Amino acid sequence: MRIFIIILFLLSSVLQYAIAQSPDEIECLKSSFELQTALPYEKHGTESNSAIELVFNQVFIFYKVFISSQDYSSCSFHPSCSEYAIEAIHKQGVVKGVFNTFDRLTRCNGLSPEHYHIHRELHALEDPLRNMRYENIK
Amino acid sequence: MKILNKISLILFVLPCWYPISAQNLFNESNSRKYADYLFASGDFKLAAEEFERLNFLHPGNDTFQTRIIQSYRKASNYEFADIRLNSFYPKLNFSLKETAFEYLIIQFSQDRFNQSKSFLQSTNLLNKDEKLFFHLSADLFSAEYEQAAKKLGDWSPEFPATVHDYHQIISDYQHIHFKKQLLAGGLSAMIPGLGQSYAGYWKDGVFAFLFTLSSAYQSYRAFNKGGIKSPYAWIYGALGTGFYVGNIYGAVKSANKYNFNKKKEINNRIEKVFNSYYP
Repeated sequence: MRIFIIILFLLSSVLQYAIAQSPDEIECLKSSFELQTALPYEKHGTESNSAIELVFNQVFIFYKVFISSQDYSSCSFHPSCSEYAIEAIHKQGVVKGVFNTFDRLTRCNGLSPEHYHIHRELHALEDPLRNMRYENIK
Repeated sequence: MKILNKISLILFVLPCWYPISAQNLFNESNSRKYADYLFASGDFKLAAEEFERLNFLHPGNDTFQTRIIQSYRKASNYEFADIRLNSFYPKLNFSLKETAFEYLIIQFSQDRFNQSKSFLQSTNLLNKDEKLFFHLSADLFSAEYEQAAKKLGDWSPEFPATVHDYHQIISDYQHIHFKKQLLAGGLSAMIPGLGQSYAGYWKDGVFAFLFTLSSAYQSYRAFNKGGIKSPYAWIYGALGTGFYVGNIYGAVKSANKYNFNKKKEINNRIEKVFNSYYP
């Protein structure tokens, strides 16, 4: 019995090398991870222009990663309100961005689909970031 | 045996006739037919290549050159159509009316309305009605509605049938009541949500009113209960202020959105009339 266990142990340790991925395969997997591009809101979260913006962004990212991700997607817009907020604060500054976000929150009721285009894949109403003049902010 | 030899000789000689009698698919007339077929079937990218080949065989042919420009333009390759047009006619000395139309459409696609207008003044290829149509199109595309209305007024009461749709569009534009941003913002400052309702987005207005009012009420209640030391009062107060200012911001945006949509609607109608005039 003891010999059998020793043989099984040795065999398993050898098998481990036989089945395991080669260094080349690991490199290949690594590069596939690198190909994944960061979502816009993740980029804005790391590229903050000021300390206040950084705090606001981190609050929204915290909400998005730990709270919103636990529930189903209930926002009627694309991009969602938290993504919109991060983008607005990054591109319009803290003051305008926050007020734009409050306006967006009041509009996020799903009762006026006739005023928006529908995103075919996400089945959400398209509402890209726009300023007070209703100009697209890129 | 002799008969068999004769038959085999005939059978050997007969196929030699085919290459002599066969048609040359790449000669001018067949290439022209193929290019016309591609153009008529809507394969403009290939038609352009075929007409380019024809133009290479017979350089300086106005019909081929016009077809090349037309094919690139219809394949939505406006930039290349413009490049080819300038290479064929650097001095804009067109001999065909079709080429003049192509030139104008390409200028319109690149938003060069002033150049189109100066060309319209100098060319003799287009008649009065056609010139009026393109003049009006240039005015309308550059949002100079007053100028377009004035031009139409000079022609009234009998203007050509081609500009009837433009007359209707100008009249509709003049009857649009654009929303005033300041008024929308002011209304929302007085009563939250009123500005949005004024701009035609009353559902957003109702929500703006409810959000602002409920936050303000909660803040008021918390201040009454816990005084200025109550954190809830300050939190609700900050939220209420945010919703209030956001509602004014949103009201101005809604007014601009309304105006933008109306202008876009008019612009789409202008484009439709323009594109149907010379497809």
